[in-house]
Amino acid sequence: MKKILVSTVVISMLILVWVSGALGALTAEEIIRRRDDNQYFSTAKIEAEMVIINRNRKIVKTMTSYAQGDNGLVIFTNPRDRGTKFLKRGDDLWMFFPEAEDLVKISGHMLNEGIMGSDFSYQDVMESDKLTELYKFELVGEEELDGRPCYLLEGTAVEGKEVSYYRRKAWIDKERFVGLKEELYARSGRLLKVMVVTKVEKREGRWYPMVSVMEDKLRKDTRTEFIVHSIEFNPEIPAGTFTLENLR
Amino acid sequence: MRKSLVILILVFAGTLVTAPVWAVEAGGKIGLGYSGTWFENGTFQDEFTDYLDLELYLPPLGRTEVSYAFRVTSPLEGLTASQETGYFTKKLYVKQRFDRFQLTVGRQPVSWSFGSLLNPVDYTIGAEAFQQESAGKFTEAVEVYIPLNWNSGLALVASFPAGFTLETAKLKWGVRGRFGIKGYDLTVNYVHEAEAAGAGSDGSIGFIPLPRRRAGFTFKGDLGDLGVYGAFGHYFGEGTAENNSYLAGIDYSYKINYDHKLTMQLEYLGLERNNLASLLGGYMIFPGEQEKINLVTGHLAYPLDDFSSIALTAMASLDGSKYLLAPSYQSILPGDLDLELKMVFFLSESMPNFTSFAVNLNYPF
Repeated sequence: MKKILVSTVVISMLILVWVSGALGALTAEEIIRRRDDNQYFSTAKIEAEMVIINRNRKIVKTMTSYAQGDNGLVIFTNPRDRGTKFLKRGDDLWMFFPEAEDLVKISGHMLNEGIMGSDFSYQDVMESDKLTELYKFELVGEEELDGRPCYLLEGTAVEGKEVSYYRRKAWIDKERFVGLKEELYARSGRLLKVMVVTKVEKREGRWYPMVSVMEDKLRKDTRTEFIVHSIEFNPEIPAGTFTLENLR
Repeated sequence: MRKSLVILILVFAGTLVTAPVWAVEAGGKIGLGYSGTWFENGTFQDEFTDYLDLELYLPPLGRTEVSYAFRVTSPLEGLTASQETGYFTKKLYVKQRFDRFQLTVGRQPVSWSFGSLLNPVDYTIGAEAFQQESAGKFTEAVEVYIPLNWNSGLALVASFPAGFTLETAKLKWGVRGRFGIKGYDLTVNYVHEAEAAGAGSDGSIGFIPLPRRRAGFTFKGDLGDLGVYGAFGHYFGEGTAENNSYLAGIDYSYKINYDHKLTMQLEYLGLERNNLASLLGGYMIFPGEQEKINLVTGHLAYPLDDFSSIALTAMASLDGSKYLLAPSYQSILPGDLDLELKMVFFLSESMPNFTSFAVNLNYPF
């Protein structure tokens, strides 16, 4: 009788451990949601620098950008491009040329173009949608990246959603829930870009990638570093920021 | 005196650039250029140019902004006394942002570009050709901009092409409405030239009278992956015969071998030859009996790498009487110097052919 009781307790405990372990395992959706909790922002102000590197030469572009939902505004501050502004509202892209103060609507096909000659497209820089809304993710494994254990996920674009890349592989830090690497693929399966995060910092209680390096795999010996100097989450952005009136 | 002025400006600029504690910042570029033209009869003309563009970036005072930008021409040649130094104010204006409108008073650029290579319905016809800015866009003016929503607004402009004066005969005015409708940028405008503006005023080439009154309509948007745009202009009589202009264009970009992206722009322009001369300045003037001109203009640009690109602009009259080809190469050199090489080949049945070249070096700071 005692033997049966002990066996029952041991089995119960094993079941309990297994069940709690199973309950503790995160699904792909939960991992991405937790990543989004860190990296997604509905509103932000960012001071950043883009360094375009080709072999041993480089160009530095500095900018202040504002993002709110689907809207983005980038104002360049480096000498060569000073005063040049981009406004993205939904799929509409506008550009302000400071010399003659021209304000021109940019054709939609330019949205996937490298912004100011970089490896980041206008979509990359201004897209602030939640990844969970754009892609269906699957957990495909776990890998260590630069000594940090990561979840490896694969996402495929949700039908009907406008995205720059059809498929993406993401390495998400298991502890900090921040993306450390991404591979971006075309519908054909061709690898287009690889982004590696080289510096992560905790800002306003969330882990955020401060330095990212984007490599366009279709171009040789080139990469673009995107360095975030400061980021303010949910700042008060004045009404009218994302308007043509404000670009002038 | 001129030399002293240039030195004073350079010292002033240097002080601003090197004194970070000042709230005022300065930026601009220094440019050097050498250009030459070979004419069909064997003659060759060349020219050396140098300039300094300077802009002061003054922090806004509440809702008031002040802008000051100017160009000093031939500052180096002025120092060596081989050329007289010139000064040209591009911008010197005050902008006040009110709750319901913006008021801009002073010397300012008035540009109604909408993305075409040539714009037959701009505020100042002839101010823009081959995407090069010219002095024609900068004028003494008062502008009121009334926003209607985020991508729509109304601009009312009064300018003084002969300098600020209270004489209404010397007043030029215009109104432009811009409306964003279903992803399309639509504009309508009307311009009334100054009555006292005779032939050749307003930055045109000097012997073609401008249409005194004109009205224009433009649109720009997307059709799938294709950018599409167009314009219609109506030029009222008075000085010139009443006539219209038509512009239709497309732009597209294409990735070659998934690698570099070729961007293309192609447009058709049909208008009266007098207005065409005003629009294009010295290029493509059509003397003779032809009244209506049909012109096709194209532009191709291709990045060679992150620092350099090549481009080709071509223009041809549809009757085959004139062709203009302008290949160019641009590169950012080590040290952040911009290098630009340009050639222009002009072929015509009725006018002397010519070939010109230009080498420009710019340093933005």
